[in-house]
Amino acid sequence: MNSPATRQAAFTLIEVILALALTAMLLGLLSTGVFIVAEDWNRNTDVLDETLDEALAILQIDRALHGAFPHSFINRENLSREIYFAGEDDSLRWVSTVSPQRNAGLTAWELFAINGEGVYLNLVPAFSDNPEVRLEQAEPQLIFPGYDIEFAYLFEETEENQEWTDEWDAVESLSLPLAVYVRLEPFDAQDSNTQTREILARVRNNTHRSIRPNLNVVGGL
Amino acid sequence: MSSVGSEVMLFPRTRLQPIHRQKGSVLIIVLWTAVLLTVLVTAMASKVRLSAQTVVHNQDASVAWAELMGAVSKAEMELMLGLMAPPIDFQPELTEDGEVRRDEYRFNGQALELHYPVSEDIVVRIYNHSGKINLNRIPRRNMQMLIEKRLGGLDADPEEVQDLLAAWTDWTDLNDLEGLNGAEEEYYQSLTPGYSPRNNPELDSVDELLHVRGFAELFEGVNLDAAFTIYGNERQINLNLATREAMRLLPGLNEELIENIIAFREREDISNRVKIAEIIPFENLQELSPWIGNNTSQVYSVFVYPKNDLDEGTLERLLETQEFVNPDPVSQAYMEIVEVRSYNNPPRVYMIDPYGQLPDTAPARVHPEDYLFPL
Repeated sequence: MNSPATRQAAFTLIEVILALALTAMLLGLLSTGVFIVAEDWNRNTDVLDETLDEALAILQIDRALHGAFPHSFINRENLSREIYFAGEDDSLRWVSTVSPQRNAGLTAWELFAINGEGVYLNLVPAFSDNPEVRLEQAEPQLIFPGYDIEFAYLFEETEENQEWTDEWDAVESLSLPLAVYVRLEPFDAQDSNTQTREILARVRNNTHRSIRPNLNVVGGL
Repeated sequence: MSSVGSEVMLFPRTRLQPIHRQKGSVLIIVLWTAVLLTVLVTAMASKVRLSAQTVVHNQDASVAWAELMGAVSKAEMELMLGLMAPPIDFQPELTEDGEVRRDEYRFNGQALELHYPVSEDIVVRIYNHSGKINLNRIPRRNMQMLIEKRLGGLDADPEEVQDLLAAWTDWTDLNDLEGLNGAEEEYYQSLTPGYSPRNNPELDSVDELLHVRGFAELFEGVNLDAAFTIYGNERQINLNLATREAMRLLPGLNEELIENIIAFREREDISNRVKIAEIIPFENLQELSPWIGNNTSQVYSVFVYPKNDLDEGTLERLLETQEFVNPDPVSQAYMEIVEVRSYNNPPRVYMIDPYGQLPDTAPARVHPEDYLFPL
């Protein structure tokens, strides 16, 4: 008559193994969960810092393009009045009213990428001449490490038709594009910390006050 | 039956004790699990919250920018409406004496109520450029007077004045030949960083003035965009539209007179010389006379920014320490310079500055009992 009591006093081997296995599984799941969240959190604060910096830089570039100015100067070789805006598909130099250091006067900006390093920014005062030489001598700052940069420029082909081009030379066209599209593409597409970023800035101030745009060139650029 | 009794007695001892032990370990496991789960959920929740906040901020920023751009378009529309014939039932604004107020004198920098209303949180101020000194049309003689006034009027060192004037002349003439005590390519290239002078009578922007030799010191602390313009053909300044910054530079005017001019135009238009003579004493008027006129320009600076008025507490506190307080302390705004030529074409944009500096927007800093003009 004692047998049921003794049987119930201890678990069977299967019960113990099952319980242990379940506990181990549960604890394992929990700890990996915590580990993942902790790591995610860690990375997130870094990424957040980075994205904040990036967002700020992107906002500044967007505003600087929005505030683009048809800066004119006299070409000393042929005494012609030229407008400064040199857009390639992988670099852009332009003059803007926006200056991150809040300097008075116009500021010349340059954006370009060095393969394997990232996107660099150059800032120099535009004064009243061609800022090209000063831009070449300036010390560039790395603003988007790990990114490549691409540009496209919007022009009005006919009144109804607007087209994107990957090159804009204001020496020829004597005007600025209607809008600039900037695409930041990470070198390493697998890296989850970086993602493609885009800027689309409308340039409202397209033509110089007194220099007439060269309409023949703008269309067939 | 005794065996049944002994069985009943046995059960509590042999069965309940191990069960008690098991309960304890389960409790610990449950507690640990609960703690871990809480940590997990808290971490996840704060992450989600942060993302949500970021999204909300981004959305706010986009909405604010869109509102600002909308207000800019409405301000441009307002300027175009000014060129249309007034509607038949148009009621002009009248002063206390029944004089008609000119509609375009609203564009003297006061906070405007537009015909196409903008959001209540946005302030629109428009400045007509005939209220500024035109650098591209300024005669040499007038530039000399400006320099003299900045250097202390009659105490100005004539040599210093001539040096500055020569630098200005060399900057705006077409050649690279240095005038007497002037400055050309050679001088400007010797600076760090070096640059070339404009060598064109048409400046590209007002700030260019700072690059002329000696002018950065001369106009130190002056909001150049508020005082000067390079657009339009006007040579004279309309006192109805003049900014404080421009008036401060004009010969014959001092702070007291400037505040009185502003107080006067808050009540009625300065429509002719007789009214000017009511405010400004004869000696000062003699000096000022060649600078002023009644024309208006087609070029405007439009300033648009989110409202950020002082709250009542701060306003009262400031009023205790200062005599005059500007209830709108904002100094930075989205700025565009446009020329409005007709009502059926959008204005031509000459300059965009997303971080433009506002002129002094304060109302007149003079009490009615101190007015120089009869009420």
